[in-house]
Amino acid sequence: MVRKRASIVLSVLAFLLPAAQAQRLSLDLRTTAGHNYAQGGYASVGALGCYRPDSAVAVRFGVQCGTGAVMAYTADWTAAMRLGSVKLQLVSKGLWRRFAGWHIDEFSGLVAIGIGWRGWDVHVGLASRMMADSRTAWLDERTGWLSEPFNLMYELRYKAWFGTRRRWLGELAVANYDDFVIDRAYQPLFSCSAGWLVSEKVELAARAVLHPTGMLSLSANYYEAWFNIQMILKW
Amino acid sequence: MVRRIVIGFVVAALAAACDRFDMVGLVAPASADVEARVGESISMFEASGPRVLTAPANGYRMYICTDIHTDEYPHRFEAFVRSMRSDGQAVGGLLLGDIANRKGSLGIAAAVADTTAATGNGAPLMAIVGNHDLFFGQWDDFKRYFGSSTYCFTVSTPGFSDLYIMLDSGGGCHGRRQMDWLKTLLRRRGDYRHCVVCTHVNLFRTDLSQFVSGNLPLEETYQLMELLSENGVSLVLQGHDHHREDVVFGGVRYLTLDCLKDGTDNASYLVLEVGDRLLCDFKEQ
Repeated sequence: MVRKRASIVLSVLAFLLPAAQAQRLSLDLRTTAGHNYAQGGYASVGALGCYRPDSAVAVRFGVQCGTGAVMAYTADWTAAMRLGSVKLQLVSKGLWRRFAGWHIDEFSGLVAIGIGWRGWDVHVGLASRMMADSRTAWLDERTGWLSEPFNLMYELRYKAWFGTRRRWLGELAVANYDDFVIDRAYQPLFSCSAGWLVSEKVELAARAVLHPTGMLSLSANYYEAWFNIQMILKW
Repeated sequence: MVRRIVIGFVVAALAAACDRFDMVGLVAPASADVEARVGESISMFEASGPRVLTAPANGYRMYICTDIHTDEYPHRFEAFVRSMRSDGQAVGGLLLGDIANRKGSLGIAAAVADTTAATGNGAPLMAIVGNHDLFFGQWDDFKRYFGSSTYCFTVSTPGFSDLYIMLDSGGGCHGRRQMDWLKTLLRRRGDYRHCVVCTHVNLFRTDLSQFVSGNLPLEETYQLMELLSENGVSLVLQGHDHHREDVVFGGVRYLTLDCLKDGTDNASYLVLEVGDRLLCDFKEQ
């Protein structure tokens, strides 16, 4: 029954979307494997759909589920404008992560401004977070939730295209937020990515991320590393 | 170009000459990493055997301070130690990390704790490591002066027994091995009246005072919160932030203490009145 419904939905999407939103939609499918001190080894799969109503605006919705009963849902919105060779951006993002095994629901919101120039992207912003105990009626009880109103967010990214037809992409980044993470100020994620533009409609990418803890404010220590591969389909 | 090289050299030389912030330690482990430290701590703890403090009555006092950041002689810390040892109801004292403020100052604080050890009630002072105590490879100094940083002890009264668990979070996380050790230890929670967990780094960032200070990774925070709630831990004592905070989540009270550093405006220490309930009495300095 489920397979039948899924195939009907996919058939309708395959028929409608290319015609209605030519070159405006993309779907990012990814699988991740990693290790951290809290979960040990873990794996997850995720999908991010992106809609671009015009060249200046992008809206994305995504879901990720992983071992250890961790679910994450994200929605973000980016608006960009160009001033000569400089790109200015405004980003807002919402993230809901459910750690079912630990009875925690985490709701985070982020607003950041960014500037891009010749492959460089710099974003700075603020994020707020609310943690709720999923076992209690947290809206009614003070002891069932906590908020972290001020978190400095940052992202520094450099990417470059290679090859005669510019089909290879290399990227280095440090940030404390990602598609399915909005972390604390001193929890940077160092990442290294490589992408391959297979065709105009398909892109493959691989990414390795190192997440140390205690950096810059405490005393630095390894905490986490993960690796993911992505397939991005464009319509 | 030459000017840039000279400026870079001067900045690097100044950074290397700083004996308070370990520039290497800010970006890479300056002491053994958390798994290695916890391994050493647990070995030391197991070799020394279980520690039991005895209280003559069901009610007693525990003195707790944190973040003394010793530069020169720590006067407020000395006053804390003298108060503890002159209190007939005090069974011991806890020092929740950031004992040192510069390279080599752990020994100064340890000497202050030792000079009054034979006076008054002779109550022992037990410590855990903070991030500043790990800079410049000072983990070896910490072991020499204070011993383990992952351990537990009990306070035995005529009618009850209370469990105190001391954790190492100086490197910004507790690590897998320590969390497994804690999980095993908390299986015996039912044998005790109260269970108090102490760690250096505060778990939450609920106000602006924490804007410049680091915390644990989120997943580890959630894992720890669940473990503490699930096992009915009575109180979690933390330091690091230098500003008092008192929150309850999932039935567990999380208390962050002020610092006890000389020359600061908001210095205080905590006298924990342990009886049927845990009552917190802050002594402003």
